[in-house]
Amino acid sequence: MIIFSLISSYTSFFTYYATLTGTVIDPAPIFLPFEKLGEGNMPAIASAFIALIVDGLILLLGTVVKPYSYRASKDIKVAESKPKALTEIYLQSILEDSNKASKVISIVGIAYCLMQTTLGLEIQYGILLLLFSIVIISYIRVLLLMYRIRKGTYGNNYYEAKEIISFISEGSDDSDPPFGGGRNAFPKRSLGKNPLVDRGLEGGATPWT
Amino acid sequence: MDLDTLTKLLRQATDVLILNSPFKTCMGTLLGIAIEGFSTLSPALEPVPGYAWISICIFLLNVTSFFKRDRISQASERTLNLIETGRKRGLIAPLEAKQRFREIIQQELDNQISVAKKDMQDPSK
Repeated sequence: MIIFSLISSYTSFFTYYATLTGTVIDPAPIFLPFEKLGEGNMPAIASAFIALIVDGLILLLGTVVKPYSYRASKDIKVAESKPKALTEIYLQSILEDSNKASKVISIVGIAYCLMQTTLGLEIQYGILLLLFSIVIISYIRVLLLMYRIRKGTYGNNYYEAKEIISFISEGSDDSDPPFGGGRNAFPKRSLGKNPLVDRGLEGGATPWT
Repeated sequence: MDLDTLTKLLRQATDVLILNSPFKTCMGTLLGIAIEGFSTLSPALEPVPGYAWISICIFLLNVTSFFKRDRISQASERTLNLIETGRKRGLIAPLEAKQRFREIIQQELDNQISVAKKDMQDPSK
């Protein structure tokens, strides 16, 4: 059913394109690259090779970095301190975001190559490079965060302190059995108009206590 | 420049480059490429290059992040600013400033946990 709807939407797209622009596109060119590959066309082989390397590397990043992080978290087992546990949770959330991004980018890369080939347009390698660099940068970001957490230097400056406190306020814990489903582990109640008063005897954060 | 400062600066640079959210940036790229494909249908939009569509869509998907304020209490923000200003003016030693930043994180965490505990004890609130 899904395959049928995909095929019908694919063919209806070309019909729609033909009525709008007056240019009839033969859907057959989508198989043209594969035909060229079969014929042993060198540029086609080179393009396929580059596409496979780029997508393979993106997927590899998504699978290699994740186990590294899990291995590291297994070593800790019981977190030494609350902030340590918090930074580990933050790292996991950043890593998940990067993994999601790498999956989306792989799909984007394949869809872009497919679209350009189908419409008979030239593939701009700059765009492929841009896609790849987004993934690389997002993983460099994760690795830098990992490094700083492992070395114990995370959270010792204004930027990171603000970042992690903001994360505490936004954090949610879906795995909490009594409440479950999107309950905020750290509710926003403390962020009233006058947080100093709201905190009361629990005390605010003062620099020289 | 020591490794601590270098990694801190690199982190800030990567955050700026991917606009703090790789997922939103990727979705912007996806949308940009999709619009670029559809722009071939309209002669008016056809001259717009693919990079322009991608840039516009990345900006549009991240526009909320530009206006989003950090969800941080005013007291903590004031304290962080105070320490940072003191460090910049040389009133607080860099090592002490680092320690103070950590203390604030610890205090904020303790505060939030105690609020969460209260909520668990009295879920009707």
